[in-house]
Amino acid sequence: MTGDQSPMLSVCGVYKEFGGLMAVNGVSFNIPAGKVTALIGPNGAGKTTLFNLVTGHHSVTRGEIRFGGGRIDGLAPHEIAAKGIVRTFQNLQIFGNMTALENVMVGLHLQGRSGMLAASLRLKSARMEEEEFHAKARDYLERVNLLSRADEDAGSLPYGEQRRLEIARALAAKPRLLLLDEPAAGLSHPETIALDDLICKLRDDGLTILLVEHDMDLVMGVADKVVVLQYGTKIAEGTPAEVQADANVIQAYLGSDWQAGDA
Amino acid sequence: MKNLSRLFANTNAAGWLALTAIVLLMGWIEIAAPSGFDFADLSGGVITMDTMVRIAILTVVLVGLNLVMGYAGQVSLGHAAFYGIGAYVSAIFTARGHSLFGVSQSVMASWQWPWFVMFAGMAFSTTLAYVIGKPILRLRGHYLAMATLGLGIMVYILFRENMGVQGDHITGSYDGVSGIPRLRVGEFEIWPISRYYFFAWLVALGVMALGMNLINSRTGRALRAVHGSEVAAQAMGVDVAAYKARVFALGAALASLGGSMYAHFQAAVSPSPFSFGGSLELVVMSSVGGLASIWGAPFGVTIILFLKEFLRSRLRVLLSGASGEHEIIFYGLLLIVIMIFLPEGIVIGAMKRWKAWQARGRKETALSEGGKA
Ligand SMILES: Nc1ncnc2c1ncn2[C@@H]1O[C@H](COP(=O)(O)OP(=O)(O)O)[C@@H](O)[C@H]1O
Ligand SMILES: [Mg+2]
Repeated sequence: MTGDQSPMLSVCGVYKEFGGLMAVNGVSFNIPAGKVTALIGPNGAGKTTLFNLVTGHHSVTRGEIRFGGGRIDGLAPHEIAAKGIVRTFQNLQIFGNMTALENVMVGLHLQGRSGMLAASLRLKSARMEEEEFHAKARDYLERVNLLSRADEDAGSLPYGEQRRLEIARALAAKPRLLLLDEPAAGLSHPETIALDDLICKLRDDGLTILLVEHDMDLVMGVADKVVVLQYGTKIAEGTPAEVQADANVIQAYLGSDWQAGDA
Repeated sequence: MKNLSRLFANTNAAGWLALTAIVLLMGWIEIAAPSGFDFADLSGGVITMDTMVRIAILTVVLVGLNLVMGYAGQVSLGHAAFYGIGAYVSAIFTARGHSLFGVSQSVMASWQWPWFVMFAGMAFSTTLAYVIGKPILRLRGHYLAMATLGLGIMVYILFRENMGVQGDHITGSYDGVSGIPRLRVGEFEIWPISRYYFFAWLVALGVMALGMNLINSRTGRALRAVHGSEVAAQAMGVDVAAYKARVFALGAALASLGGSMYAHFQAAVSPSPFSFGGSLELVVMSSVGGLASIWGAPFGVTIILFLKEFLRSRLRVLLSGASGEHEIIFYGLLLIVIMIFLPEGIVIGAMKRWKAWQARGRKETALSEGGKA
């Protein structure tokens, strides 16, 4: 398990400081290709910050992040997206000024080529791309069971549907590595089960996933590997069973939150 | 045939065709004056050809501003600067090109020259916007508003102070530049005003069509995504900084085009329309019509131009000392009222209400039919 022959992503000795606060404090771990890796830890542990470092939304204070062999720390977020790392947001970042379908079509951005001129003049190439995008976006909406909402304003969808819309939009961007930041937060029980199914299906299709999640049933059910953070430091890493049995983890974290997750 | 039906299924396209029909009808009435009516008679002198041309020119400018502010969400309080640059470039090079820059008389007299100058002005405005846009657009929210405000004031002062050069030969100081020639295509002069009317509306309708195509495309969605959430747009691979600079440049190009059209329409330019008041007027027009709407452009311009005419005649009566300055107070009040009651502007606000009303109608019919079954 820990002998990852070809890690898809390696985080090597990464630090992130916010005005004196070390939000991420020398963290290293690998994400194996084709597996689901879960990143867990209490609130404020630095999980979202680590996501922001991997996707380039924040710059690392020190350390290296490698993806597919090359360094990606220092690249702009849109360049990292172009390499195939796509994320969802813990605090939803839906395009509220567009329909659900258009949100997913933004996810297809990198697969398109038509520019301002071709679009303004509605050249044949732009029209064909547009039709193709429509069809593809509808497919992705169907995968998260939102097709019936295609033409509704994304901003007016209920919370759970906005979460799924974010996943559809991320999938549309054809990720090689998908980062999900608390995708089950605020979901109902049946919605969480559907999410569980979706994540398993994506993994079976060969997608590599990094998952931040508080719902321990979900984490232990789908994760192949778990990394535990506390106060910006990695305190454990291993299979779900290993982590559950880890004394540090039980002492530092599981005592309280574990039960909350189970309830 | 199939294309045509698809066109009508699209409300934008149907509206565009309707507007084209209205423009053609008005133009025909002006030219043919059926049974002795000309255009101004029909409205008792309220709607004149002059107003209609102004609406067309400002529509061109506002489509650009709406793309920048409404779709991409970048507040520009200095848009009149680019409008002014277009106007002054056309004015200076077509009226003073020989005396100032030694452009030969035969080139100046050719019909192609004003068109060439118009495109050169657009290219200059576009480049300027792109170059200054890159650093400015890194700023967000009110910083960006302040930076564009500063740009607008700077450009206005350059016009007003004759670009800081001795003598009044470049921008003409407060008096501006006059003697701007009419546009021609070969021997055909685009004047009298009825001809200019068709020309201005041809451009305005064309720009509206391009704008509508753009917003429903990959580029247009990227722009709207920047407005909706910059971090999410970046995460989907949108180069946010590049798109902002591009849309700012496009907005400047359209403002410059409108400015050149204005110069050849008035045959004279002076600094005052390009002051802060001018930029504010553009923003008010944009907000009244609806920022995130191509249709907001012609509607916003029309509503404000008519209100202005109305106020101009009434304010004199109400306030005997009233001058142009009172318009600014009025714009301020209007902006507040619009932002409180119709934040999406009149066009989108009305459309949403109409859609909601229709949806309610559908639901009621569905209910009553369900009851029968
Ligand atoms: N942009 C920021 N500026 C300053 N401090 C931040 C910023 N983002 C996160 N932090 C701090 O970093 C720590 C880790 O936060 P975060 O990564 O959001 O935790 P988690 O996602 O694990 O709950 C917290 O103490 C938080 O207050
Ligand atoms: Mg978090």
